[in-house]
Amino acid sequence: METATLFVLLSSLAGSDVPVGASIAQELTDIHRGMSPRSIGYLDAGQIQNLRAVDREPHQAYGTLHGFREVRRVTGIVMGPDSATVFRYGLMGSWQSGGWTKDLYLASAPSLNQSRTRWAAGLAARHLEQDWFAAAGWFHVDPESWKDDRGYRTEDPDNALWAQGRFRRFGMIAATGTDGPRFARIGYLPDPEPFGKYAKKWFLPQLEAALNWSEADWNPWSDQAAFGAEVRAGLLAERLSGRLEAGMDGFRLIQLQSNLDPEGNVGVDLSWARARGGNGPGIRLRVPFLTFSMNDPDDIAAFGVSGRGIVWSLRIVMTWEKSQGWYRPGRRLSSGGGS
Amino acid sequence: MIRGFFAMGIAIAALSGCLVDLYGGDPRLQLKNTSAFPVKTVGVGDPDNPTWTHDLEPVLKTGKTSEVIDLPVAGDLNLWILVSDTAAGLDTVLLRPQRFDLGGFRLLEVKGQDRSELSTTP
Repeated sequence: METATLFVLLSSLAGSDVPVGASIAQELTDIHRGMSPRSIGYLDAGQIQNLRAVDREPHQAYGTLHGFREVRRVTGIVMGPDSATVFRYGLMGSWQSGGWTKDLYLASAPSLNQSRTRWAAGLAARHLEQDWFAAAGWFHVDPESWKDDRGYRTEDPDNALWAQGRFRRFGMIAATGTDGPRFARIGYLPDPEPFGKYAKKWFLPQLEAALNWSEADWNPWSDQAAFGAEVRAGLLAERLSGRLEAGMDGFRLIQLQSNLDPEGNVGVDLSWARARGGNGPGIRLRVPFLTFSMNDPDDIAAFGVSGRGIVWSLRIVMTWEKSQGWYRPGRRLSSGGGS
Repeated sequence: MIRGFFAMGIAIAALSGCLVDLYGGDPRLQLKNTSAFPVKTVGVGDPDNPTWTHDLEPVLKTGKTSEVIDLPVAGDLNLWILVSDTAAGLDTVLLRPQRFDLGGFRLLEVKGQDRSELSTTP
């Protein structure tokens, strides 16, 4: 019993790892910003891991271990089946798995590792003329446990229900577990309408704002339940944009984004964030299909990996409005029809 | 231009993969026995209910140095070493919390001319 208490204490002292709930909150937010009523598909796939070993992973038998955290994810939404109708419905599915590993692996860890898998599934619908999109579903996290011959459970399973909706540029997200609400967000969302050559380059169409509330276990920024506010403002037809987020728990992040193309597929984002792992800079390089990041606060939150040390990610995030037109969630097609 | 960025993305992905493959590895341990007793086994975890053990075969006699042993994991480990007093028919377990860095190497010396003096250095 004393040993178990000691390990719980060590875990809490080392508790700068972002909890898994924060990853679904971030994922729902990405979907929220990305899926407009015109969207027909969404894809988020990637891998994120520590690039430098970190300490403080307690193991009942071995001691305090020195290793890495790595996570992989695939999330998709497909709307269908009849593209001619104004009302369409679709399916959402998400799988994410990972945890502590004793070494860096590009594939699954072959031996001693601490692993956790989470799933999300849901239904989606949209109406083109009424300009709304909605989705709702279930979120499940398997127990976390050590995968070795003396494996034991370190975290219990968890479940939550979530829903999100969007009407024109106004949207909301809500998620609740058996023990109460987990996450909520209301936002003035990005407009997927293409910029014309001379139209809509003034300030308001480029403005985005949101209020959110996270339960402590779903908050990627701190270990307390807190309200937060977020503002994003673009310039030069969103070729440059700034983002500021803060909450009752203090400053969260500031980010400067640049886009070399209208769809936001090519660019560099620089940030300074105060995640659970501490303050630090981050950089994200976007090229078609892929993003690479070092300590990017969004990717750290999205995958539930601590910002301690160096965290890198390789990720694909895209939204479709037609089979030949895709862009990053939160961005818009060019007037020429997209990439 | 899009093709160029796509090619650059693939190149960065390949480079990232190479960098990842270059880093890490299990820590390694080598034992030098200057004690009066043979060393039989090294392990990590609880000696009464061992999680990982490595039996030295043949046992490590006085004045000998073991082969390099790959440990299962890095960190501040609960390392133990089993030394056998064959004349008295008694075994002694040396418990030694020891830090092993990822990919690192450590040489531990087992010393002591009497069972009560057994210890390890550094």
